[in-house]
Amino acid sequence: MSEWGYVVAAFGLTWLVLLAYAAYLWRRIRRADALLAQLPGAPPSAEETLP
Amino acid sequence: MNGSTMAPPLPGVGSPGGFETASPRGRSVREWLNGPGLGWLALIALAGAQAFGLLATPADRDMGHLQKIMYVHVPAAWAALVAFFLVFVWSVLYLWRRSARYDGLAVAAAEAGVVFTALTLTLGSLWGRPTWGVWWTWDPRLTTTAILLLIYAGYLALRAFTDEPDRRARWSAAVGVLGFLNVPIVYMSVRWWRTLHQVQSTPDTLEPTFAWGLRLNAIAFLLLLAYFIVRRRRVAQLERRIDARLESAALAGG
Amino acid sequence: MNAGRRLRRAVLPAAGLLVVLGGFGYLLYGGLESNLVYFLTPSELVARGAEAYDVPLRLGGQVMPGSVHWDAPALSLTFQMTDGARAVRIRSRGAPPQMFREGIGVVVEGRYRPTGLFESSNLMVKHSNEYRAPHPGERPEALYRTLLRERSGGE
Repeated sequence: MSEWGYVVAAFGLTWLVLLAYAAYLWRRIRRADALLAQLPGAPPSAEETLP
Repeated sequence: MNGSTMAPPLPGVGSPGGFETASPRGRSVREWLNGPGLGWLALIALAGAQAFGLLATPADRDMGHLQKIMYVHVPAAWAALVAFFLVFVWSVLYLWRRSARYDGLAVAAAEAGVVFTALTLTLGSLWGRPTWGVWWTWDPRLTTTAILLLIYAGYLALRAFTDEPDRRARWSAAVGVLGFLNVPIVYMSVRWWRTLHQVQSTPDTLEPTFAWGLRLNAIAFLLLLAYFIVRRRRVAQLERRIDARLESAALAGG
Repeated sequence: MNAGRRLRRAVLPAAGLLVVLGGFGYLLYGGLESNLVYFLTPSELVARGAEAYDVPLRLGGQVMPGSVHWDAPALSLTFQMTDGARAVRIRSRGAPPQMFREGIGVVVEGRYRPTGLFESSNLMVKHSNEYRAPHPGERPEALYRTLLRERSGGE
């Protein structure tokens, strides 16, 4: 691999890992939100529906 | 089966941001932190800092363009060490105050720290192969960093194995405090022992534009760390709320 | 509460904690002296005498200027490694990493032979913490080519 090959691999991997983790967190939040909406209990207050 | 009669708003459960401030200004900060703003800011900062590093800094005399890997490897390592410091602080606060809020913050920082440590090791490997000649060697810096990753991966595994929230929070806070012992060891390893890894660069040993590339990327990585912590603690908070609902439903049903 | 649940709740966290503490104990007291000496210096190697012969070990120091010889057909690199006080002759197989040059720090893995030659199976280049832009008019790519020419100029 050339000099730039390693550099591109390093920067590309950085984006890949960071975006993948961000996406993983989005998915967990979305799933937890959906589950919470299904559960019996207090209807979501204004506080809970914040973005 | 109305949960509101069963359970009054639990401390640390009712507020989305967890940054409990009554003032309208505190509330708007909290809203902003929980919105997509911080994430976009971090991404724009990262893109800008990396564009600067890749396009606006010269090649290094010895390493050529390979020096540019510094702009991602070093900030990732800094972000990881800052994350583990935050785990330590929030673990101490948990043990002192016993508030689920600090447990959520600690696990958020620990998970981000594990991501950044794994990234640091992989990027270091990609840098080491063309410069040192090897992907990996068991020198003290690399070895203590691998141990660091294991400790906090162990922290997350411990949480996955423990169901009961209070016990889980207590045990992980203990690991969060003890595990931090390794952080200064990792940082000082290049000074205390003989290593293949070089000692920390200082502004005196760095070309000024290289130092700027490093600083800008460090800011972007710290913003990303903040974003990850805010998002992950939101997960912890929602899960606490789900547990509370399930519990009150079970009490009402049984 | 059945046994499996008790295991999950009490034994596993305790075991995890023990592993963490044990790791620290090992790192701080047991391994510090022996295992954390990543490489020997040429002086330490020579001081060990016959004890150092034919056992796998790491040796670190500087490439002595003027001592590098690259035998391209045989893919064999020889040079003197010094710590300022003593020097050891190193022979390494294969092309060295790109940054290898006279005066740079290196760590080699291999065996020290009674003949006084260190046969290296793995050569690693140790970079300093200094990073500088090339001088005006100097191109890093050109610098590499000069280094390569110097390296292969021996034969």
